Amino acid sequence: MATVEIERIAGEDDSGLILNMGPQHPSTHGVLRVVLKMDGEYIEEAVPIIGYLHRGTEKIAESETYTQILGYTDRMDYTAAASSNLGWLVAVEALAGIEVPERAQWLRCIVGELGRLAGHLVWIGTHALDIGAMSVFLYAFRARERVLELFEELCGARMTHSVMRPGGFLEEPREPFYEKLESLFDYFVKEIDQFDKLLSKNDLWIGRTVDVGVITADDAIAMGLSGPCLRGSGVEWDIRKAEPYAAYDKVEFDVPTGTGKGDVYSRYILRIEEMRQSVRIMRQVIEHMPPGPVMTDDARVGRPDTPRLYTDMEAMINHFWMYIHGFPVPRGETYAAIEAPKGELAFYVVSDGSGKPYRMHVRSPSFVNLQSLPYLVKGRLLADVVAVIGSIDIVLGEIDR
Amino acid sequence: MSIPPPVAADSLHERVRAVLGDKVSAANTRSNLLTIEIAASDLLAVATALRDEPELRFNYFGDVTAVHWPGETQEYEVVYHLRSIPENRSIRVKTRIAAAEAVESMAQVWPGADWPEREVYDLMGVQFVNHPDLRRILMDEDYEYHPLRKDFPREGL
Repeated sequence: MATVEIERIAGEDDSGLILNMGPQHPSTHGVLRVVLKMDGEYIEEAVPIIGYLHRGTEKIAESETYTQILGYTDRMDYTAAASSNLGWLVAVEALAGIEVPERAQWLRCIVGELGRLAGHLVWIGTHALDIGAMSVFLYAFRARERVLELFEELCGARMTHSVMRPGGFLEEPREPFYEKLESLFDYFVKEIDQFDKLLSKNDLWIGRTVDVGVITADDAIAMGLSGPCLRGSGVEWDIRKAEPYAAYDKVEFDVPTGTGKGDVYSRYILRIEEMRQSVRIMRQVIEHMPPGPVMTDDARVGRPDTPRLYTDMEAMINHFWMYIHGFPVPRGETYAAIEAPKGELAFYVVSDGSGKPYRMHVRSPSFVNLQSLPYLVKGRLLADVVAVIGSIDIVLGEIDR
Repeated sequence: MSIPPPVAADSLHERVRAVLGDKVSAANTRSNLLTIEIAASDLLAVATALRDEPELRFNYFGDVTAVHWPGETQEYEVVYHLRSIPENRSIRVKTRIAAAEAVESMAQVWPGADWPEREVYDLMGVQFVNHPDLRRILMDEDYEYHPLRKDFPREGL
């Protein structure tokens, strides 16, 4: 896949060492391949090569209904599937003009933040493992298991759940979900504090992360970075505040910017704080969430209730029509962005008036963030590459789509 | 410092009109997002003005993508989404080109356009001139097709 690349960076004189990293290397977080031109232990040039996980989601989407595509979005950022679902639904609902009930909007904050928590817990575990802190991985995955159990309680699935639908939620979560969620808040805070204690003042951790992979605020903006990679450079920017969706305009939370130095440590410390803010948001949602339905009564998208299907011919026809052709979406286009754990996740959707999108494009945060890798590692040591890849927090499912 | 609410599309429209004048061939403010359509030949000038004009300062390249409309003379619609951070302004810029034409690379204005433009080239076949490194990115380098074009079958290639 990259013979041209290797020949180009090797140059005419064949000086220096070409080192191939990945695509089957655990510290590249999936199937990322990086070709490195080395000068001894230092990196002269790094070329990321992607596409090994390309499944053509954007093309497939053109032949699926808006509801079916939801299942494909799960498989983009599979560490935080809830966020990808939410991004897609915000776009579809904006395009189709579907009103989502108040309670569903609040509930979406819970699902979105659980997704963020799951995503960040995978990140801290693998990032620490890459750098050499083995035990953090075990604690992080134990805590993530609690989050997955919550998803299981919510809908029966653990990782790719598609529990939200256009118009709200499939059904109201059962009571044990809320009980279990509330009982876990203190546990999550304790676990997050534990990572903080294990790493934040650890000499080895500081040595490996402070002043590594530095990017200034201006460069981060110019390169199009988003999420923690942008905030780590001291830029206060969060789509949840800038263009609020769900019920994020009704809850209070801070946008942490780490140390503002734009290094690996800053991106680390701000994600730790983000996890605390996620718990804070969920506590507020539990307290203030209004009662009411969680699915819109808009007949265009709502599922006809099951008893009517057996007695009413019209309901049956409607049901089949909905599931075969999907609901029609008016002609138009929309660009809807959300703050996913990795950054700005946006869907650009063009509708030709039918039940399937004419064009669907994903602006995936990991894809744009990864293009800063050559810049971040140039002139650094080989060992810094794994630290920097971990701090960008990439998911190849989302990059390659 | 906190993040301000989004700038209203209508007031932004006036400012953009004042700067770009008749370069804007069409505009709308649906869904509170300003959309302007421009000629492909004006793209670089418009982009530079949008980035540098102190009243606008679109310093953040959000996204680029393309939509294929086969059967029309200008069959590619190239769509840009730009932001201004931290002032919280957003704009959508659209331009149309024929399949044989090319657009200026926005990587000259915003370095962040590098990979997104490679993706559009790879999957859609839009040519970008003055791009630092226009190669395929997701598909194999000797792949012959541009799969997001509408003439590429969705199954059974």
